[in-house]
Amino acid sequence: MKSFRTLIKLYLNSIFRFPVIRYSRDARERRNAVMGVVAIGLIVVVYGGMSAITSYQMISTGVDPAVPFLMIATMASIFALAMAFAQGGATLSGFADFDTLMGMPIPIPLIVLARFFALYSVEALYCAAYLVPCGVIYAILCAPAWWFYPVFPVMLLLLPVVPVVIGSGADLLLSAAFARSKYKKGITSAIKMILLMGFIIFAYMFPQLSSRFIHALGEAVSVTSRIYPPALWFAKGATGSFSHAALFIIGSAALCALFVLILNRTFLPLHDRLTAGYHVKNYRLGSLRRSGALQALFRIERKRFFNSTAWVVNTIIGSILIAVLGIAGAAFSGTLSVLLKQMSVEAYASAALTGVLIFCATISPTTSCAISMEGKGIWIAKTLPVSAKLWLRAKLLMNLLLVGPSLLLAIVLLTVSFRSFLTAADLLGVVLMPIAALLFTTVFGLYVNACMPRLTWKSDTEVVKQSGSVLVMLLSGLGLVAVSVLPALLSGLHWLTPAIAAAVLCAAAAVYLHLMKNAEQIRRNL
Amino acid sequence: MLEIRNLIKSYGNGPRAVDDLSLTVEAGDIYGFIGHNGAGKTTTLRCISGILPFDAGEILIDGIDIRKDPMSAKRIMRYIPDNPDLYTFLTGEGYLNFLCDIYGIDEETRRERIQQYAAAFEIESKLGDLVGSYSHGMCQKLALIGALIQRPKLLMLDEPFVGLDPKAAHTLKSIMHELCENGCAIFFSTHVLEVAEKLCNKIAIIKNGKLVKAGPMDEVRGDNSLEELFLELSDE
Repeated sequence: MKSFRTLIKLYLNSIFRFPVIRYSRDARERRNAVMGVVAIGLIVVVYGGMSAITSYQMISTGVDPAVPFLMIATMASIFALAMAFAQGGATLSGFADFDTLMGMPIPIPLIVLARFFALYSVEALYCAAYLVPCGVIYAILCAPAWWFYPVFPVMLLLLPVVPVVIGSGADLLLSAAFARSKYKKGITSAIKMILLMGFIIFAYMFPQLSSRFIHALGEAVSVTSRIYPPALWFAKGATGSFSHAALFIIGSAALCALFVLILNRTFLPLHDRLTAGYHVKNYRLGSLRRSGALQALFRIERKRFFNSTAWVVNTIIGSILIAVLGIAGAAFSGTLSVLLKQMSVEAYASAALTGVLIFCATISPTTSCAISMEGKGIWIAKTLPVSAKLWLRAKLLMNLLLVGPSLLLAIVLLTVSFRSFLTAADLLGVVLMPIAALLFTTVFGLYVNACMPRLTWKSDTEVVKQSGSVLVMLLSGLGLVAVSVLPALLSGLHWLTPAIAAAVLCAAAAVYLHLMKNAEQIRRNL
Repeated sequence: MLEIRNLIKSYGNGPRAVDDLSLTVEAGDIYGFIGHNGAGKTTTLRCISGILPFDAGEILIDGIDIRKDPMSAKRIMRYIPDNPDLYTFLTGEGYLNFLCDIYGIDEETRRERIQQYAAAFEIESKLGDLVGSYSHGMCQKLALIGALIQRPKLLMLDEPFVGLDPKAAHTLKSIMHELCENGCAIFFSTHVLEVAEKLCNKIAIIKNGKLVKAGPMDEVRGDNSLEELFLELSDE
């Protein structure tokens, strides 16, 4: 048990970097670590706040209390499942300190359990952020039976278990199936993207129907149970059904035990298979084509990006969503136009288009962890005879080329499809604001990462999912959506959005110039 | 080729990792750099290569100040760390081709040099594999090839023999001699005193960041073996 505690402590230290905060003599490194923890805290507060507002509004207006539990638990579970699917295999079996751990006198089941706990703990934190406020508001407003108080925390702790098991199990199977393929990263990333996109599109049906089931739990039950049935047991269990609570607790615990048992039995061969490299037979030197320095640096960025499944899954979703939205918007523009008129919300069309495009374009820029992803190989970038400006430009280019084309496509398709709802000022706003937001997020993401680099990591997940700069950019993206859309929406002044776009463009230019001016210093200080 | 004048480097508020170090490496030198763990060898090498900023002093590479014109200096030198973390997402060939692009080596020359050094280190058949699948020794070999194909005027190596098999170590020694005959300067750190004694024409000993002895091997060593001298200096 002591070994287990030590392993858990080790992993939590790697996420939250407590030893760095406590012992590092480098003030900058210490500050970065503190900022990382603060960013995680802010995310938890934002999620909690959103959950609290939603729960309060629903319960206080007479909606069945199970509905907010159901909605939030489903969202939290989908989030946990997506995260586990993106990174589960690497965390459970392909981790970098495998040799060190396996060489120690620690029983394998403990290592397996600790790795599972490691994966679970972060998701549990976010699930708690979502559902603790909901539970507190329910307890205050509805005065539940006494057994709610001991049972709800247990259910809350178990909520991420099933999605983590399903997500990481699927990831392990997928990774193992293509482990010996030359293109294993590309194939698994593509399959994951397709599956996740399918799931997201499916989940999108959920909020669309939410207005209908606000007052009709029966319909909510039927919709949500199709998406994720355990959330229904959770919601019913939390709001008075002891049998559902028991079903949820026993089912989650049993699935977890079964998964850990299977993983324990297959741990070594699975790791062996996952880490088996692809070896070329009868290799001959290739064409060795020559290219310029920027092109070569960009190629490195591209290969580094597509080699990291966690990075791809985390960032490319926005780009794909934009393209899907653009094409779907154009394809169903007739129906949507009728719907907008029927609901008398034509005036909000430009704000909705702008907001959605900005959200998707800025959801997670590659630049927010592009410097951190250099990792210990940073010595290469530092010793190359290329200017730091060029090195940074390659990173900026990666995000712009990843998101830019689909954003431009969506802007063209959506503005043409919904032109009848847009005034000249609206049109200018819908075109300019997402482009300005993309440019700003791209350069600002790199700036934030330069301020908060994390170059020592064992798994890319630590950088892509848990580093301070990524979390700061997640909050910045949400803030940018609010800043871009709300002023025009609240004031009714349509020209405000283009004016804000101009201001954001100026801010982007200022950050870019700052980056270029200090490029050498940024690289030197890493 | 390399001139270090009064180099001072500290980490944060800590003690000086390198304290007023001055050293000159000339073209054709194989200059060994020895010292106990934490003496400041790697810090010195990282300062020279432009990886680390330093507090005071001057570092000139073929007359070029690394602080004033780092690009020109980096174009003529190459540094390989003791544990080279390479781009694991590239194949060996992809990594070498990337370096050739950065150093502007034409296609014919890069092919010729890659073939030459990959054959010397016996990893031709592995160049199509991902670097992530390489062992430590193979990464070391690939990093060395990456440095050699550039034909640098100054080659700096941090513990270059760690992880190399005996044959590769022998090959590296031969290549080092060959490079120096052609006017290249090599400055490398090592803990293997026998290797330093046989390979180097000059040697520098660093202790707690300060240079305690430096110069031609015979002068520094005197009548002692390098090991005896090192132990004697360590005990002082």
